[in-house]
Amino acid sequence: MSAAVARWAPPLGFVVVLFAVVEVLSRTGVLPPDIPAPSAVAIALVRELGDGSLTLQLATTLGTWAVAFAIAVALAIVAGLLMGTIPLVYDAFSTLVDLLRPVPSVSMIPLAILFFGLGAEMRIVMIVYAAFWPMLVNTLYGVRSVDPVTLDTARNFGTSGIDTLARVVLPAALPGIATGIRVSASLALAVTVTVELVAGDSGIGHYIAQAEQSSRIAPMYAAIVLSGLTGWLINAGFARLEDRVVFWSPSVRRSAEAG
Amino acid sequence: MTNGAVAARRDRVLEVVDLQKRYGAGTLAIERISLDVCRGEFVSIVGPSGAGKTTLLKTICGLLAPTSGRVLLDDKLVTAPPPEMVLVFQDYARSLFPWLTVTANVAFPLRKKRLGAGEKASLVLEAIDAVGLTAFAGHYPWQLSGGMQQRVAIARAVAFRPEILLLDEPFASVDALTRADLEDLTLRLRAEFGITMLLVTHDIDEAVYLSDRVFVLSPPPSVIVREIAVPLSQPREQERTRSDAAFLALRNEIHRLIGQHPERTPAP
Ligand SMILES: Nc1ncnc2c1ncn2[C@@H]1O[C@H](COP(=O)(O)OP(=O)(O)OP(=O)(O)O)[C@@H](O)[C@H]1O
Ligand SMILES: [Mg+2]
Repeated sequence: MSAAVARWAPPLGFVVVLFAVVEVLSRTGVLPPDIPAPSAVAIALVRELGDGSLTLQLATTLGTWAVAFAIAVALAIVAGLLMGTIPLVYDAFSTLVDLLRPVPSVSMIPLAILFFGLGAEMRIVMIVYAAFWPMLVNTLYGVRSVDPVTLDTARNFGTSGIDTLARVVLPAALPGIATGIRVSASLALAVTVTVELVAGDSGIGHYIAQAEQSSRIAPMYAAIVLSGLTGWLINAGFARLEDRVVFWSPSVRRSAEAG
Repeated sequence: MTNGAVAARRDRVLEVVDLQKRYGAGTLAIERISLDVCRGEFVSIVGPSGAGKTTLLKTICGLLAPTSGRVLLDDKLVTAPPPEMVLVFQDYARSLFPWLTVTANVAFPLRKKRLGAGEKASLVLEAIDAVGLTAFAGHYPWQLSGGMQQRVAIARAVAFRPEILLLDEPFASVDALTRADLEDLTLRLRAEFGITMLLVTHDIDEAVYLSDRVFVLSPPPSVIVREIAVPLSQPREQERTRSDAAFLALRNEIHRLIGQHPERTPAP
């Protein structure tokens, strides 16, 4: 109990103090009206969630995110397993991966609009594209770090082919895959909001853009806060899942032993 | 050579003929090795570090292809790992699957065997019991000590019911007491399950203590320097066997052959 207090008191204390300062400065008119009081943002958030206008946008954003993220994960795991286990495939594609991966995915938005228009299809393609790379790189890292002694052990017992892939390579690569899922989940959400903002007709990103255009400052902040909270929850959720699923991996064990 | 060994010689289960192994275009690890192992026999190969012992076992069990020469198991050429032969790896910690419990690790190789679920379960229980780890069946390998992990690796091999067990310096990284325990455990498993044992080690005393026959390897690229029969009485017992005059004579002979000084002082 006291350990939890010690752990959470400093960061929470800092946030409370910061909010209090901004609140006072905003209410006394020291800050420009573009920076509203935190209490006004909180009230706007509760109101907009309550009357459903923001809730619906959140649901839309999460729906788009979930579909695109699932596609990216599935594609990247298959690609990562193929590249990681078949040297020919690795040699064929590794240069392409190294070239494409560092290109900031949002810089591809105009290209995506050109090819897919302004609809949902373009948004999904963009999110899949962005989330695919960290997922692929982490899967590949996981597969390629499978211990050769582990593989020899499986072969020694006559395990081969799909059986080795499913029962040895995949579990051994799971720590890398889990990291990839966590990292690309957050990234996928960021890109979802981005494409909604730039070229959307619904979702939190679209809501932020519209609120900005109609100078509804507090609701705009409320939507930004909501997307931040959502990203934080997604990351925390997948981090917990990671600890549960790959509890046996040395890195998870180390952090468990340390605290 | 004892009469028993001569009689058993006719029942040859493993034969290695003029085996040579070079890694790629580089290191010649094994110059030329020929040896044989009879059914039920305990054979050790002693050699200095880097003599190609691991290379030899991996080639024998079909994980590596020989550069030349051949390996015959029951007169059949070994080209891929045969189900009758199992290797317990030198790096046992890396050989166990960290995502599986002790029970699941031991059960891992049985999936492919055409046995009923009940039979498989009893093979697993029996093997875990034989190495004395029943109380730890639900633990994960990384929750166990090094000696216990090695026992899990041995149990997994025993549950598979191979005809021959290949052991690669199985007791090299455990303390002396655990080591003596594991040596006697190995002898017990051999008696209980009738498994033929082929062990490599750099520990001369251990080779003599455990074996019916010992092959002495040269430094790399390795050849066999000498084949030595060990006519010590069975069953072997740590203190009695190790203080036997015949034991001391044998170990001193092997020490001379390898040209190194004794590592252990004989028991008083
Ligand atoms: N995968 C490999 N590729 C190239 N060379 C190798 C490989 N594995 C082993 N060697 C070389 O082959 C020789 C024999 O190695 P090996 O591991 O078989 O010896 P060892 O007798 O088992 O040694 P130790 O007692 O240290 O376990 C060494 O010179 C080593 O460098
Ligand atoms: Mg070795």
